[in-house]
Amino acid sequence: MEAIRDLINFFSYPQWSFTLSLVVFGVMLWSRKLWTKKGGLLMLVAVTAFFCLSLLDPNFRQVVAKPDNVPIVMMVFIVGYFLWLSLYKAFRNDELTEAGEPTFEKSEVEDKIFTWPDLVFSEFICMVILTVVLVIWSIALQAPLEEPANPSVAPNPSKAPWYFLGLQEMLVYFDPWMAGVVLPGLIIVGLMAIPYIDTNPKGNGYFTFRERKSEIVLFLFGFLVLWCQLIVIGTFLRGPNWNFFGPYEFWDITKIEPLVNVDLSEIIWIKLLHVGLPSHWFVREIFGILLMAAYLFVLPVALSKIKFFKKYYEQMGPARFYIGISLFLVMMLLPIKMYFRWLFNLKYFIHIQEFFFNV
Amino acid sequence: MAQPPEKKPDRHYDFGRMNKWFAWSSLALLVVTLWMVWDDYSKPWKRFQSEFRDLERQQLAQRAEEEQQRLDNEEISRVRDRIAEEERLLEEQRGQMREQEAALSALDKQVYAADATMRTTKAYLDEARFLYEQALQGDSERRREKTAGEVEGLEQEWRENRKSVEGLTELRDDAADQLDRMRADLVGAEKQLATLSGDLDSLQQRVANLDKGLDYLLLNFPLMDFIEPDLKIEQVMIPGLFHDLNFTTVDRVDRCVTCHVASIRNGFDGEEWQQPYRSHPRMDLFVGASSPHPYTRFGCSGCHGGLDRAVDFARVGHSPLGEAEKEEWIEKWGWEAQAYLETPIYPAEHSEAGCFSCHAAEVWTPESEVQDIGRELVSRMGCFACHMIDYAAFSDMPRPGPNLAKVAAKVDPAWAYKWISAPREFRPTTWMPHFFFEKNISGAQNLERQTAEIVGTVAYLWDKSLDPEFPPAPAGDIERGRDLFDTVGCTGCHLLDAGAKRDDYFPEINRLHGPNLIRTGSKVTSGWLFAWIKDPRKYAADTRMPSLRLTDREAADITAYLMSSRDPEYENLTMPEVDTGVRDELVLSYLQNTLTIEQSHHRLESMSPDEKDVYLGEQTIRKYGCWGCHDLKGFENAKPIGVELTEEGSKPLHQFDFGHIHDVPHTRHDWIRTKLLDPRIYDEGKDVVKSYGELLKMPNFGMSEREVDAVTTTVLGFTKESVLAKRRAGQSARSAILARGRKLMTLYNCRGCHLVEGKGQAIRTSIEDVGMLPPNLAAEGARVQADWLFDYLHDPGQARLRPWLTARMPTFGFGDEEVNTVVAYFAAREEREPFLSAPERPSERELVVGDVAFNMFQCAKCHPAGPGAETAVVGSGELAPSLLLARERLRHDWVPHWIVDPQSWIAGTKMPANFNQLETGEYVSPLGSAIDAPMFADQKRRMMDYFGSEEELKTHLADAEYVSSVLRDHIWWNLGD
Repeated sequence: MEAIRDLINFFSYPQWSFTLSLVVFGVMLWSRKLWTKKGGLLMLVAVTAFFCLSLLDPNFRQVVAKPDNVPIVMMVFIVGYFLWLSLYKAFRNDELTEAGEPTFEKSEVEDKIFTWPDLVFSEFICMVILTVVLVIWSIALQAPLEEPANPSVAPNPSKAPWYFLGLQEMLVYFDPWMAGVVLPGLIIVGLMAIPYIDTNPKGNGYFTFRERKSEIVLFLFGFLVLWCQLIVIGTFLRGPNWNFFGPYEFWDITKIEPLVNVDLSEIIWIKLLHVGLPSHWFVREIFGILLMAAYLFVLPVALSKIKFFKKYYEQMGPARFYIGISLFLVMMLLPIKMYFRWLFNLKYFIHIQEFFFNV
Repeated sequence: MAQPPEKKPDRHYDFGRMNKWFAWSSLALLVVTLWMVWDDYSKPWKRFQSEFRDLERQQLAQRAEEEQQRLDNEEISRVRDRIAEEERLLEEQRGQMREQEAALSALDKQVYAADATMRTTKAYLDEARFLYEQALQGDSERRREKTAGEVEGLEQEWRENRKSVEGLTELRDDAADQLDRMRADLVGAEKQLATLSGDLDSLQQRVANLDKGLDYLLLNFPLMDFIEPDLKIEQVMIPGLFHDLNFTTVDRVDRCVTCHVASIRNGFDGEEWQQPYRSHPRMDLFVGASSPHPYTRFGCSGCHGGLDRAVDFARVGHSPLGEAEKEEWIEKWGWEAQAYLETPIYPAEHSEAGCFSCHAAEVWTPESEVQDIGRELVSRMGCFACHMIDYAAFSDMPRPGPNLAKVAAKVDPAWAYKWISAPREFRPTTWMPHFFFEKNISGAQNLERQTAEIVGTVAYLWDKSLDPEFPPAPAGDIERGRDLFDTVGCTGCHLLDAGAKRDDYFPEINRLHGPNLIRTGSKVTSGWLFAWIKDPRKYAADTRMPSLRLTDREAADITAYLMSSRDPEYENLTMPEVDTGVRDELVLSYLQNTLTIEQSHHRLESMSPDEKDVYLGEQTIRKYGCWGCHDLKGFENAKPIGVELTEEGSKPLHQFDFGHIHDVPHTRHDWIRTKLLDPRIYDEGKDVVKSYGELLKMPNFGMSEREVDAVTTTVLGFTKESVLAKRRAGQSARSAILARGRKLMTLYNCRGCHLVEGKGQAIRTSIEDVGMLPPNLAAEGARVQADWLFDYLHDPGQARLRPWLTARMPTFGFGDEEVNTVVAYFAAREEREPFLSAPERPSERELVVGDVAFNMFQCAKCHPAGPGAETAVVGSGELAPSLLLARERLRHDWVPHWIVDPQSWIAGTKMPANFNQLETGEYVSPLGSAIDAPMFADQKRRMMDYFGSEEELKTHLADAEYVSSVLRDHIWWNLGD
């Protein structure tokens, strides 16, 4: 038992869990068996069993059962359910289309019903049931109100509201300026830009996977792996001093992690070239600047020449393509930076403390 | 084109099922709504209030029953019989009665009607007056006349109305009187019955008020309880006692009484009343409306701590007593430690910690027990010497330990080594703590290191010490020395008791003001001791040890006596061998703090062994902060080494390092207690991660549980500011003077010999005869003149006020400032102006009467009043101060009061009460009647020269005020001149 726990603790550390989640993500989309009713039930049972068994562990219980964290437990199940529902429908539709039959949605559209009583009545019942659930919730789980704030005792860990924990997790890897302003800004801008970039009418009004493979994979990667997973990590696996703790580890406030991160400039100038750091910031950071410039400005052009992307380049035209690919590359900066951190203890690609510009 | 609706099914869903869903979900909504209301309603504090209501009702009902039984039933039944008899008699005159009643009733109605008419008229009259005044402003002559006429008419009418009302009222009163007369006996009997059962009735009324009837149920029913419920949150707002919320302060709003229903009411303190239904145990001091800390001004949380606004047991910061109670609370109330609550409720044994928030400016807090002892311990143990404690009581204090500038002349270095190693083994009562050989520094290597450190410390001290020569003491007599030691005043501060332990002197800690002088013969040389007790200031100018003005012979005798207390274990000692390797390693590690590794090796090689010792000693002194308690050359301006404790009581819990100790509950007070009991305990398990120099340094004072509790209480009180300055105690000029005086009194241990504010006289253990004890200083400020006291404190040897006492008032060598502090203290204590003008010389008559009275009272029997003390005839234990000094010593405004009633000034004084107190509280002089005795015939004749009649003389002689003041005049002008 102890060994299993240690194993899970070990593999939950971000470098492993993130890699594992990439693998699982790939397997999930590849295996259609999961997106049937049986597969869904199996996943539900598996996740529930994991939760229930883990609740036997006091450290796990302490974190999961906190009233603040209940919404995130619910989020895991709700996100799972809607993911299953959409993919179930998508794959079923794909099969139906292949067989030459109309999709779910198409056959549904045939059935026109009245707003009153069918829609309003059923909405009303939903409202009543939801109210019942909310009232029970609010009685059963006390609002986590504490005594008046004490300026000399800050809560440790100090956590953002749960929906911001993904952003807070990004702060581990990026300068606050990046993680707190640029990236969230681009997330919003990017989400708003989707309808203008992706003008492909396929999949409008019905679920499908086959016709929109790349788009769905891309979106789910961003949403599940980079957003939901970071929220889960931030909630359950980040303890005092924002140190990482496995799900069954005790949140020891005195845990010490060695701080040995270095900048790209140090890796290159000192470790590889064996010369000191140049004094002028531009010379010092030249490699990082070149690298970033290449990543953001050369790579999109280069990609447009590759066969896979060329198709999209031709479909979308240069403006849409470059905007889309830039947003994609900025998104990918996060996992790339994470791996660089884990593999090389990289602190920043560009670290210009002279005017607080760090990437 | 859309198909007509009737062709398609109307409904998409099965409405039978939809309706069922709707019905069940609505029902569920109803149920959870009711549940919500109940959940919101059922607060534990309501249960407490309701339960207390029942208990109180029970108690009152029981009292009512007892009252019922106590009532004399025979008497009551007799009164009842009388009422029945009266009623029967009245029944006989029924016809007449009825007639009378009817007449009265008719008259009542008439009076009422007439009165109503009168009032109506008056209302119209007022209006008419207004209209007339308004008309005066206008131009219409006609209108003016008309309104004037109306006023006149109505006034006339009103006057008539009034006359008729008055007439009718008179008639009605007559009728009522007549009826009353007929019923007078009955009414009297009924009144008697009411008086007899009055208490019972009021009790029964109170019981009825506490009934839980329908009105109670309705007013307290869920959703109805917004109108005027009995069960409600009780709160008091306390301006000036605040919470500091970083950028603002918020006044406290205490709601404790919501559950602790009885705490602000008297009479709920028997066995049967348990929390939360108990009265506050000290209503005279706290909470009570007439106490110094009334509930409405001080609330609860200002003193007790805790979260003022909370009404949930688990959230107010209750502190459990021990683990068992904690488990019980978690089980029963869902209790949890409040992580962000700065001050949880102080546990019962430390409840006096709260006093400090307001009483920090005072050195003693009247009525406090633990808090004061804790404060005294903090001063005596010298906590403030290493830890900065920024309160008046602990600032500007002299160093608690002796000055070591001339230590080489006093003791032997090998003795010093043994002493520093374990002070309590030589002298179990000492305040000097153990720095070395504590359990966090064990292991053979560490023992060697410590040996080297102590040897080094001694080497440093001897290196810096002056070494004056002291010629050997002249031979003395041990027995005479013992007598002197016991009687001359040494025992006010010193013990000489091999079996004494410090805890034995709890709470009278000032008994240990000076060291217990056991084994002195094995510590110092007789020459040094002789010189020291002859004049302590000659050896150390800053010592607090006073001079007793001993003669050479006395000093030699005492020296002989003290030197006779020896312990061979502490004689002929040799310094231990130091492991030079270990010493060099220590020296090297210290050198490396400021030098490079290479430089430090060079430096080490260049040092001689003695230099190494001295260097290591200096570093050891630096490490342990020895200069906090001892004046040390080379460390005159060093800063204290400990953590500042000024706000220790508010220090967040997470900043207390519990180390690997898991059986200490995680509370502030438990941490402090444990630390004080074993100062190095939190090093347990840290020997690998801490280097030798990083180990905890706080020395072990060998404190007992009681001492630890007291100090913990005091330290818990060192909190952040939470009370407005003007609401704190000790803000007035008088309080400041008192505080300064009390601090000085503690420093110089006045209570060692005197009773000050009712406490002290430690010396009584060696002086058993009460009459031989140094005086009680109660009312000193009212008794003596400031300038006399000033001179006396400067040089107590100049006048022997009580020549029969063996104990001497020592010469402390006070400066003017210190003396003024004492003088001002006594004046402030009695709320007297320190100086007053000289009295006027009275007339000849008063002086003669004074002389006579002085003789009649036989004052000179105890008070030596003539030249020399021979006139006194009683034994030395009965003697009183010489009256020859009275005029320059005593306050003339006080002496008459003293003569009349000595006991009210100094309880237990031997001055007899010469005047008789009447029941009215007035005093009468016995001389008024005694003067007729034949033995006083001469005196009577002598006085008659000054009085018009014998009657006048007697009146004067019986007047206590007169007699006492002429006695004073006699002392002033006849004896004093």
